Amino acid sequence: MTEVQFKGHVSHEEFRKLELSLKKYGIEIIDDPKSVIVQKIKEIIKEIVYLEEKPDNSKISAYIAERMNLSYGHLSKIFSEVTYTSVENFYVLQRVERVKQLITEEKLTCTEVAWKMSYSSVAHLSSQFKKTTGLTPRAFQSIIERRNSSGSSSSQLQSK
Amino acid sequence: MKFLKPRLPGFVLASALVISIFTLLFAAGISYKQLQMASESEKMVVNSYRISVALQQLDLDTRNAETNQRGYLLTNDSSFLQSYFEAIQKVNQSTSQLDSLMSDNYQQSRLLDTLTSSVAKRINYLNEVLRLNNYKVTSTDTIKSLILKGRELMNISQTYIYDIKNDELKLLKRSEMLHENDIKLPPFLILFIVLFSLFVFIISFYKINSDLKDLAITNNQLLINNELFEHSEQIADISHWYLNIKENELTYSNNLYRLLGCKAGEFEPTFLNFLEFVHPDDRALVVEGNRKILDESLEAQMYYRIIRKDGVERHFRSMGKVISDTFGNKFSIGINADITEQHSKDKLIEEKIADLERSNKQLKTFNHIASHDLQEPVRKVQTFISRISDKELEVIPENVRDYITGIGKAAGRMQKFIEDMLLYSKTSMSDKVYETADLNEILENSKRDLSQLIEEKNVIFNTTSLPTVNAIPFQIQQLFNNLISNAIKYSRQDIVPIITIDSKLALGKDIPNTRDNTEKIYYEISFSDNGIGFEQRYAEKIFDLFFRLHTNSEYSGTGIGLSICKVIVENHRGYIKAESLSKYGSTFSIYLPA
Amino acid sequence: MKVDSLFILLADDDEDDCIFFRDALQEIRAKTDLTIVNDGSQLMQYLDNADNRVPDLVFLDLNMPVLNGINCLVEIRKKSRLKELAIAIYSTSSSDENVEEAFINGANIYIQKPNDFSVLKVILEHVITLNLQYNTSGLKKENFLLNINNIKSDEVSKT
Repeated sequence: MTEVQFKGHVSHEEFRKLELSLKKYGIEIIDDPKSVIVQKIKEIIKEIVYLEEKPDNSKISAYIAERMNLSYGHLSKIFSEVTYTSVENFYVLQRVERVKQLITEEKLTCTEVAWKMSYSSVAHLSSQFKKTTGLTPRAFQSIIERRNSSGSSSSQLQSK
Repeated sequence: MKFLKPRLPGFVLASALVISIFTLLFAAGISYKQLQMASESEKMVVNSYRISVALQQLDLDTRNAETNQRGYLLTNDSSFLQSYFEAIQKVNQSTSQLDSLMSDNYQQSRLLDTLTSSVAKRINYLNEVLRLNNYKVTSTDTIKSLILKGRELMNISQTYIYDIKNDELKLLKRSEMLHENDIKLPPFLILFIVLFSLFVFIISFYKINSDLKDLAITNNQLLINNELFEHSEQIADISHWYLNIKENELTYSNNLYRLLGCKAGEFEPTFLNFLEFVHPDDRALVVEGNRKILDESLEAQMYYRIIRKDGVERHFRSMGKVISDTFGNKFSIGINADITEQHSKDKLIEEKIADLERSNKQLKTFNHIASHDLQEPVRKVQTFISRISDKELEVIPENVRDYITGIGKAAGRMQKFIEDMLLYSKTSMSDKVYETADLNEILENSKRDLSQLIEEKNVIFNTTSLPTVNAIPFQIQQLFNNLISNAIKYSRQDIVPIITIDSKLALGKDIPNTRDNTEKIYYEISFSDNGIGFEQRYAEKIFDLFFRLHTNSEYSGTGIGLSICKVIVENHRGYIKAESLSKYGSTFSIYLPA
Repeated sequence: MKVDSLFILLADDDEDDCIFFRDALQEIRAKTDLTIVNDGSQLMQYLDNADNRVPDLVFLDLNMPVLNGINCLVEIRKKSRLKELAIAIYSTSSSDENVEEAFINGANIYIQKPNDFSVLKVILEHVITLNLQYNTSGLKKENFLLNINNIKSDEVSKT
């Protein structure tokens, strides 16, 4: 995310024009301060998830609060307001997404993923995965494989 | 019966014969030679004796001559003179006899010559004396000196005779020795020949006899086998044929004719004649099959139809191949079997299976549609009820509230019922795809699926390591889920529910009340709980469909869960047993083939 | 980030279910616009019309007359225009085969129609929120797979 500050006043139409033209390049404009905060939190969480080491859950909230220079309670409230979900949920969601990525792109086994993502056991990984997606990691893997082998009519472009 | 390999004149036998012949010839040759030598030496002995005799005779005759001469000199009797001339003749005879006898011995011949000459001299003197005597002129002294000279010659002759005799004696002794030796061997050889021949004869006799006996036994067995064959063929509706490929001779078993509806030997066994009976549409197949056997020496199997003599169509199965016999001749042999009964049975089975599959499919579809179409209204009822908010509920009268609650509950039961029925039919009709399933994983999945319930009731699990089995994974999962959720459902209110899951091995014959009396190995997995238990006399009935031990007000339930468990276990060719000591809990044991 | 209302399209032939759906949507936090069609061909007609706004989320019943859910799914996934479209199968069935078939043919979400209204609300909220995350947080739509099956009123998922 890049922050841009307009030097002067920008009219509503101009702003819309800018928005539309940027959209062509897949760039979105966020101009609401709360949304900005939420976006930043999301990015921090993404960073944490992609780290090799999984930090303690307790440390995450502290870490975010420190990075954002705001209290965690406050951050958490804003996050829920805007996204209708909690920071913790978002964190879990991101981890599960990473698991999905590791399974589909890097073709790791569940054991390998559990180890890489610092899950306490494969069972724990399966459990969280199933809770979040309603599918077991193996079922997920099988579905993705069969989707890809039966033709790419069901493929989707990567979202922004 | 052991298969006796026919003993052909092998190499061993031929060489044994040759050796025997040579041995005999050799022995005979030696005997012959020895006998020849013996007769030779015998001849020599005889010769020697004859010479001795002749010598004696010569001596005798000369003395005889002398005696007669003296007699005549003394008496002047002419009979003496006669005898004297007879004696002289005899001497000559003896001499010539000796000559011929000793002709082959040079040394002896020389001696003989000297002897002969001295004898001749002697005779001359004798004759001289006689002549002189006749003249009466001669002085007595001349006669005396002649007689004295005669006597000297006599002595010389004697010496000669003596020498010859000695020599002959020596010769005789030697000849006799040789002869003795020569005579020693032949008897032994002849004995040997006789014994050896006897030996060979006896052995040959024994062997021939034994072979003949074996042959007789084999032949007898063959006879029996043939009978068995014919009998078996008749009973089993099979027949055989064999073809001597080189001679192109085809032989049919009697039953082959019968299977074709003919009498044994009714027609000449040829392939073409057989083909006449084959259904026209199948003839090409049979020809091709036959060709494969003969030309390519492949083992061929054919299925085709024949039309019997009485016009009835029958189904045949034939197999043929090429073999070599002990003499290296190639035969093609084959079997024709009438499989009409089996064929129609098979067809019947196929039809029945098709019917079953069709009806199964129909049932499945019916089931599927029924359950979905049944579920939808039930769901609606529940949803509508769920829409009545708490606020709205507060406003309506209590009894109406109760009715609504009742409706909801009833709908809930109906839904559970439909779900369980769906599950039951799905379990019964599933395609059985087995995979290796780690039961520990299955258990973990169950715990996770029932995690909320487990947490609520604080259930404690006591589990040991479970084996990995070959099973239909989702069914085994269902089984575990059912058994564990039952254990939790029927737990006692006042104590912490403890579920113990254990595994061990069991033998088929040890499982109570089953038809398995074998040593087949099963995994015995037991689920024990400390719940409310049940009366042991219902241990079999609880697996019946819809059977319930409690009312809905006591415990909710459809009575389908354990039936599903039983179906699952039976799908795996296993067993499920229940045991309970009433209030002390229950144990459900499942047996899965290892 | 847009806090505009989410455009949701429901294809279901059952009137009652449509009413439930509409009512549930109205009672959740997220702002939504709902359009309902009653069979598959109507759905495809709507989507094929380039003048129509592409929905953010489509809920598709499996057992519709004319063109059933799976057929629609396959058709939709063929159109590049609708690549971003998140599709949720909304069905009475809960069989594993149907679930797998739906996902393999391109569905993102599979929802078994609940029998409790409040559960429906929770589900819808969860789905919408998740969809939002996928749209805004750089998550791969291809991996957006959510199976909501066999939810009972007493097992409301805590999200």
